[in-house]
Amino acid sequence: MISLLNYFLAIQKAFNNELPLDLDQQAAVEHTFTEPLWIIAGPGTGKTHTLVWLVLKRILVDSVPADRIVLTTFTRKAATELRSRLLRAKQQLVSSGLREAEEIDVTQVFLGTLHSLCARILRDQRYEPTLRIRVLADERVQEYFLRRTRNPILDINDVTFWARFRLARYQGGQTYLPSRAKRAEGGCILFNRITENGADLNAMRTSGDPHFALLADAYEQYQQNLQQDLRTDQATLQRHFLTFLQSPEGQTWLGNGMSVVVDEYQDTNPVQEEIYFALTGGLPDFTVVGDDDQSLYRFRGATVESLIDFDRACLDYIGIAPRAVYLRENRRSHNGIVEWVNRFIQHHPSMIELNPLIRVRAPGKPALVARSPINGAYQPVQIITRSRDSQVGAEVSTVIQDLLNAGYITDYSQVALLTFSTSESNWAIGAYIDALDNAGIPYINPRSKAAQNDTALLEILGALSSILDPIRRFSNTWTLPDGTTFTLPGRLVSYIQEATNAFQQRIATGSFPDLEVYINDSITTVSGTPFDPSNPYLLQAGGQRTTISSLFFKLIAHSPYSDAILDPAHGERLKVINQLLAEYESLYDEGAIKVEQALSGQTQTETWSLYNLYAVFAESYHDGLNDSEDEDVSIVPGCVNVMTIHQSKGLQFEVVFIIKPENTPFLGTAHVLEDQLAPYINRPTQPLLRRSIQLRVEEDIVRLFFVGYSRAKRLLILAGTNLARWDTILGRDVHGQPINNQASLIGLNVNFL
Amino acid sequence: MSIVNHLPCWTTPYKEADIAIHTYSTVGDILAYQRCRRQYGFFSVRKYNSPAATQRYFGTLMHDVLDQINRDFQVTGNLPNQQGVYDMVLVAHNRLIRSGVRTFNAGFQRRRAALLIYRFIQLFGIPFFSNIQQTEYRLNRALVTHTGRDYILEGIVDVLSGAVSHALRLPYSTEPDDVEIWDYKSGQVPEQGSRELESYKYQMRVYAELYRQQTGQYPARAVLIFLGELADDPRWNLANGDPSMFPRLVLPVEPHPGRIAVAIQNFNQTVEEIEQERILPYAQQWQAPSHAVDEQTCRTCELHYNCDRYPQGRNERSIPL
Repeated sequence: MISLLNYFLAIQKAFNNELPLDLDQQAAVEHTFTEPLWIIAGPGTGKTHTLVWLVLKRILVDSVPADRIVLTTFTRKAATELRSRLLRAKQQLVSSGLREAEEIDVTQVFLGTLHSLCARILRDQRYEPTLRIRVLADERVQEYFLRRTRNPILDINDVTFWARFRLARYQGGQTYLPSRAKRAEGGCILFNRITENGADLNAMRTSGDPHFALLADAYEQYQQNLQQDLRTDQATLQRHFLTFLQSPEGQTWLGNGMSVVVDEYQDTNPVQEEIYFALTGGLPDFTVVGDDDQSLYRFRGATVESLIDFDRACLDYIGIAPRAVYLRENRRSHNGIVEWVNRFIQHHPSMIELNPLIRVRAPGKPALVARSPINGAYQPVQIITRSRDSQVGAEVSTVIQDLLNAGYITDYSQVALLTFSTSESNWAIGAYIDALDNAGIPYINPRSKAAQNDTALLEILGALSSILDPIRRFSNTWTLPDGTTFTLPGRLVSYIQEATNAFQQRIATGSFPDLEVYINDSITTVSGTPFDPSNPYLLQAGGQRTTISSLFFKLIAHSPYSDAILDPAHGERLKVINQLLAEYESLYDEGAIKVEQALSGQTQTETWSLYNLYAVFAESYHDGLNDSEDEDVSIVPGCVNVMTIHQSKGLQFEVVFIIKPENTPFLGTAHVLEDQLAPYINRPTQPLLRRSIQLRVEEDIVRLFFVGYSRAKRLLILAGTNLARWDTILGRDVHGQPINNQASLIGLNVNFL
Repeated sequence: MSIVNHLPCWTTPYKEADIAIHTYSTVGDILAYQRCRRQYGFFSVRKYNSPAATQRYFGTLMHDVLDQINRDFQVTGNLPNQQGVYDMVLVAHNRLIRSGVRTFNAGFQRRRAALLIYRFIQLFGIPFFSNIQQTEYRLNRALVTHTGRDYILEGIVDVLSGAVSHALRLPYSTEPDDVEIWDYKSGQVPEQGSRELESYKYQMRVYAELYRQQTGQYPARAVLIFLGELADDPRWNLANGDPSMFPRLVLPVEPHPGRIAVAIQNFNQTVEEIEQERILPYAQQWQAPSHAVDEQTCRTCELHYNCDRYPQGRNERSIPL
């Protein structure tokens, strides 16, 4: 154990005799934990930096054992970075001669996303209900699970049920029932919110509201299926963990409680809030760090109230009010950008609430103070507007090239194109991507929802379809084994058609004779193998069952796909489909392809096997598949990073373009559900009063653009087509006047390019 | 007008690099990489999904049941009888299958697992289980390679045990306060000098070093236990409960500092190689190794239909389906 003074002296020594902590950060690090610590940290104020020195102080000065500290953050990338920075900081202390630092082992800290820590602790403690439990990897796999277990929610044919949760299909002013795939998607959203909020199923059933009775039954069925199949989703995993913490074995593990430090607390959901308070064991050794103005994940069940109302929650759970520390010194951005974000958030009408019972922002929050060494005498906020997206895109590309050619940036990755949706469609940013292509600017857009159109990926589906469905049953009306008839959705049929055509065209080039022979022989094998009802599987030569995965690996061993897996774009996309396939197969007959006897007497792929391949597997990605993302790399070097603003959270770039700002979040299921589920939630920290749904949508827009603007270090450029429609994303001037016109913006020192 | 004309006093920023310190384990990373760079790169780094899980099934089943037996023992002080072991194997099997782990010939594998485990607890029984201090003991340590690269070394030890040799009549002596690392292997002991056996010893030496870094001293020894040795029925019938009849069942690996240092040096070197591989251009990463790869590794690898290390795979590629 060392004194606080010696700790600070050691840090100072490691940094050329200058303590790298401002007064606010010091106050946070010095905190003694007689009350919880509530750090409200604006963008660029050194949140992670403060956390690192706080955690080391807890270990070295306060003698908290490293393995009694839980340190969570929001993403795996952020966790990797935090772990790395913690290790580096410790080594800096060692290098500065602090002998005690040598003896500490920061790898013992429970550091990770809350999901990963829940899984790890449950596994390490061998908690009986979760032994060998398998987590459904993501929402898409969760949807497979709902489809495979035929959850009753899929059969709800009352359009008003779906419409009340904004999950119906809307077209031409009419409301329609969602497709089966969309019902699965909607079902997952509903179930996850129920789990996260711990909604009372009995209250739902006895409410007299038939929709909620149906929902409660479907949810219960879902939970039973999870249990039966030893699966869990991310939200249910957290519920398991909470139950564990409340169990005798959990209490033993917990002892007197952990020292809990939570980063990005503004994106915490209700079950996570319960877990964190449970982890403290009722003691005030609890630090939360976050920025309410950067809360973006309402659509995933997060509630900004967890941070804004943290003082009330502490009183509820621990009986002690926290100490608030505000980090205000922004060391990231040009002072003009800081001024822009301060004005935007402080004077935005959507962020001003007169009802004292409702908080929209953290109480007492000060403005950011610009402390960055970046202070060139130029206008750091600029705007590009033209009448068409293609023109704006061309101008954006020119600016990027000019910056690089002039040596103002040294790598394309210093530039980010941020937007609400990075889909490469006309509605979103297709024209901007085309412009980058035309200018020869390298870029990466992993969430383009365009991977499904990759040629190699498309052809692999075409090859699978050619082997398993040579007569193209996909385009007909299906009579399923249970007697029902069904037609695949038109867009899906077109997609499969496109895939098979692409593959056939590839074969028709005559350049890939090995592949052609393999496909033809495989087709013959399917139809030519006598059907054996006692073993109705498609068997390989050695008697092993053929799976779609085994076909996949055979296919990628053939040219041209053997080359495609060595190409960064195709290879990563083939990997995505391989991973998805593995998850699908883990739920559907272990992937084994069944066969049946056709009316012709020949053997053919069994109807269900084929139906599931198309209507579940291909259906799930045919209209939008993202690329894989490196778990370690936040900013891909050598190229312009095109990102959703959500994705850019926690990052910073020298130059940020906010493109297509006319596209903004809109009223959705997340907002509706907050109100719809409220009567069934008994959480102590559930707010008594919420703002109107429209205001909450506007809050989301403001927070999203606040995050986008504050990523910029040197230059922030807004680029789009319709300035008049930018009212919400520009906010007001300090007098509360709209500024969505050129004159007002010029008055605010904004330059038009 | 170019944007740069609007940016007087611009200072050119330097390019910031991500900090990412990777975590490496002996089995999942180092040995996997040494066995086959290509297989490791595709399945562990790029994370292609390999459906070949049969090997994992048996090992996992054995570990799960032994772990359950220990947990029950710590509470009740009792060990299961033969039927009890079989029931536990069945429960563990169902759990694995329900969670999506695949196998074939499951009945045979279940019976074999139950037999080996039952024989193990008959041989070592209460003296062994009563000396267990911890199971699935997690070891983590931040280390630095010879080039100054940081990484985290991670390992999970099956059993951390007190001194049990006298009670178990094992062919080595112990002191009362000894701590041993035990690692279950579900197969038979590999041939002396084989790559596989050396890999197991290597794993134990790395764990010994991790343990030293975490606790300040080496374990008294690491002990590899090859449960597959207990499948020998005639020998079992002759043994009549005498462990010395199974001299290959238990293999102690002494914490020889020199050998441990060599293992850690090799570990560091392999971390460096992997890190170098990671920064190669995509098309050049994770190519088939120039050294020989054992037949079994290749045959169970999904990439073997097109691999320079396994030329016969290209013939299998043309076989339908």
